[in-house]
Amino acid sequence: MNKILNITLLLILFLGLGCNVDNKEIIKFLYDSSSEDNYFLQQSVLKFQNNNNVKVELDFQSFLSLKPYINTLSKNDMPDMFLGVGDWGGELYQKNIIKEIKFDKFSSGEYYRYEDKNIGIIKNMEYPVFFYYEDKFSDKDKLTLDYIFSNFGNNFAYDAKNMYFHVFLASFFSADFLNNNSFDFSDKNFIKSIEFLKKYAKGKITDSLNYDAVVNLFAAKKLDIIIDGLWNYNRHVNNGAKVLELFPEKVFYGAKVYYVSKNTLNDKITGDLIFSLLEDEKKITSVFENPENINFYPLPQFPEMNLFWQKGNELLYKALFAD
Amino acid sequence: MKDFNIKKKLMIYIGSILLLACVLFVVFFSYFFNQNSRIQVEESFKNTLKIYEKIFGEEIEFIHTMNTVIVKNEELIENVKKTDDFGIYGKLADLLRDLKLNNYKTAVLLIKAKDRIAVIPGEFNYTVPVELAGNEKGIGKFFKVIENKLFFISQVPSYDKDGSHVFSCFMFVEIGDLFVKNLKNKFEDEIAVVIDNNIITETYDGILINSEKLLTHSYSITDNPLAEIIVAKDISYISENTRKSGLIIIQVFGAIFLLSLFLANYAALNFTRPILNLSGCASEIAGGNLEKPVERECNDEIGELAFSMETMRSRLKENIYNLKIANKNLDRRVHELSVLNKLNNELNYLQDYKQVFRVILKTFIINLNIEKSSVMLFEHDKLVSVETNLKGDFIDTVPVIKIDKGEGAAGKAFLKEKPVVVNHAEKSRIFSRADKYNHIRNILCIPFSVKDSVKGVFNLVNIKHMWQKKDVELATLIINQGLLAIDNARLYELAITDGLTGLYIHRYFQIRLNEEIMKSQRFSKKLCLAMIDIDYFKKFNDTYGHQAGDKVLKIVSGLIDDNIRKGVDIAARYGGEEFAVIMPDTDITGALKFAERLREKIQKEELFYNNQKLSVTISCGLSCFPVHALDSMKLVMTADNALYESKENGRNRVTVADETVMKRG
Repeated sequence: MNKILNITLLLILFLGLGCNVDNKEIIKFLYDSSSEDNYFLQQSVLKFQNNNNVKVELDFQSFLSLKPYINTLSKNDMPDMFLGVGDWGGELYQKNIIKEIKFDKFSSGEYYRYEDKNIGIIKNMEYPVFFYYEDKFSDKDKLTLDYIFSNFGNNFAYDAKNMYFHVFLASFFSADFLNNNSFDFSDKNFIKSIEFLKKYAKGKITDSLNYDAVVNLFAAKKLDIIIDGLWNYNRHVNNGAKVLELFPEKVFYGAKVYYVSKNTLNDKITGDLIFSLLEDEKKITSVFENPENINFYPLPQFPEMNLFWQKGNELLYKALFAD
Repeated sequence: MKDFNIKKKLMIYIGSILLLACVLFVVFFSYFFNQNSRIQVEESFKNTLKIYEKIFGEEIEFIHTMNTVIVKNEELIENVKKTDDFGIYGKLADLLRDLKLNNYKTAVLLIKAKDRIAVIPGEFNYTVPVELAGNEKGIGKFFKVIENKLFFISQVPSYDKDGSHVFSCFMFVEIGDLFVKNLKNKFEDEIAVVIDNNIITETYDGILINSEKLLTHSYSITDNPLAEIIVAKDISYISENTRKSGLIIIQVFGAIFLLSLFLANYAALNFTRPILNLSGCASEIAGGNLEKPVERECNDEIGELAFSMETMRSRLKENIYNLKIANKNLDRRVHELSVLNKLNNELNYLQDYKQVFRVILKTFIINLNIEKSSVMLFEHDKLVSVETNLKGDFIDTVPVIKIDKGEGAAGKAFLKEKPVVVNHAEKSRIFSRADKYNHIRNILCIPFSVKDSVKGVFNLVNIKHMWQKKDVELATLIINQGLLAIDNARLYELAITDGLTGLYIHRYFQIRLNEEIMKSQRFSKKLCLAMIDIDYFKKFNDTYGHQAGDKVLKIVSGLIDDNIRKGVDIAARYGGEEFAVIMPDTDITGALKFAERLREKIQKEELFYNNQKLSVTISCGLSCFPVHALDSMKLVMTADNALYESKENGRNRVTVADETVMKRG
């Protein structure tokens, strides 16, 4: 009789305690991108999960909310890695949110650096360029800065109120207005660039012209040439446009960067995942090859940078629309 | 099962019923749970569809409403009228952002007279469907599949203040990834867009269509090509819940079953305890233990059974007790018979009553476990101690104890002709307290009679415990048996002895000779026979008369009896004045010494009759077994021949038989 009791108990225990134990490592990945990129990302992540004993938990935040969101997270809730904008890097590093990294699979040029430390892996560099429809210009050699801007509001336009684009324009004037820890809007070359813009753009564009309008006008071929960021490279190229090979010698760039959280316990797997995502991206999307004769500088990451953008935008607005 | 006891059987029966009940409970519960779950799921899905229809309707209505807002924007109207592209695109961009239409994959076409005034996004190349383009000023909401994409198209015309038509705004919202994602944000369940049975987009991670984990419902949006929106509810949680519930049910079932087993055990124990107790009692009784009473624990049939068994046990115990008593008596009787049998064996052939007394006294010592026994004979008005046995040895009592009739215990027994028992000699008034009797703690005195006349008393001293009736009975039995032997010995002696000489008669001699030859033959021993004849006996008779002859016979026989080995040699009157002596385990040399010694003693014996000295001699013939003969007859004959030789050779001599004699024989 005892045997029957024992077998029953064992049966109950077996059934009661029977459960699946998932011993996979979990990587939390906080992402900032568009829905199309999400699809690409999800496919790439699925592939990585299938090839590794890892479960990747994806979380999405919009571009604007991602950094504030990170700042609200407790240590335990912090993701293992996230994709963010390069110019946040210094702040995140100083706040001990991200850490210095070193992965075997990446060369030194692929790291995003802050104060000589590798603090992230660059997904892609972002800086403004001229996009144009080649067929609209019989002689593209004529496409000098002066020539292009002389047609401002006719076949050429861009979001001239945006300081981000003006930094690009100022670079053509070798303006020395933005250093590692400060900015100087009184730099004569910077002022020259402002005057240049004012000369060609003032009165040519209305207050209502915005970035989206410019991009859509260009896509609708109501504009022949624009200045836009490389983040729209695929859109413009797919629409028949090209990047005009007109670059200043020195270009400040922003970047999308994969950061690794200071709290992660999965350094190696995180590095492998980033590597895998970048490899997949190269296969799927068109990538603009950075010109070799340009000196690239990351946009500085000092605390007054917000002031820089704010003051600069005000300056541009006044130059374009004030009497 | 057949080897299980009743408790286990009952427990198995009850447990089986409970198990069955539990299983039925689980089955029914599972069935109802399943049914209930299904009903709940169906209800839940109905709600899902209602929610979907509401949200979807609101989304579509929102887009259309926003379109009406766009066409009424005066700045946009002015820009269109001025054909200010920067203003049109800029304002449209602002409006789309401000009206949150960027949350959808939205394309906007501003058309006037079939001309594209503006298009957002710029690369949006789809044309307005023919049925809409022909009615440029109409208002409407349509679903259309264009290039394998499902669009919701909102058409709203824009009018100037003067009522002139400025443009019509066609808003294309792709019911694709972004739309269903937005919907999904407001709606927990899954949505898919299917065109021509191909899934264009879906919110479900797995494959939505035909998934067993989903309940689905499709809405046809357009007819040709067929575009559907499928709404699905993930019901995998139900199977998970069912699994968890099943687990809980099984655990509850297990717990109930265990509890049931314990209850079954308890019930079986309570129900079967009286039966098991009865069974245990029956085993005890069967094993011979009748001391434990059978307790009646209840008043039902089992209680009746217990009562009957208890009655049976009591009677059995009583019967066994009686049987034991009877058995004990029987044992005692057997013991007595055994004692008497031994006694009889020892008394056989005893020819001397003194020997009989000794046997009786020794039997007392051995069988009654007493220290001392004695016998007193009544002689000359006194009881005189004649034999005493102390712890197995016969001792002489010096001086001989003599007591009067009625004196002490023995005297009283003799006087009253009844046994007298004294268990505490030191306290007894009957018992004589002379110093010489200090060693006596208790005593039994039994008188005995011969030929209806009390002849004496047997005294039995210091039994280990106390004298009991059975001891007195056994002692009396021994005495009676012994008295028979005394009587027998006396008769036997009378039968086998010669009245004149006291020696054995001729017939007895023959019997014993045959026996002794057989013994000698068996043990390879020699045996000698002496045949003796009184010389000139006839002359005595003739000269002095028969009385003198009888006297000579008495004297010679007395001398023969005195010179033989007591208890070994056998002397008999062979006939007339002839005697025979059987000498077992004696060779011819020994026989010759005996015969010569006898002859000399008789020759030297002075015999007087009427003051006359008589000279008596004997002649003797010796023969030896197996030297001279191998059977009794020839042995007698050879000895007789040797006797004849002695007579022939001058009498008063001993002659040993020889071969010559043998031959002559």
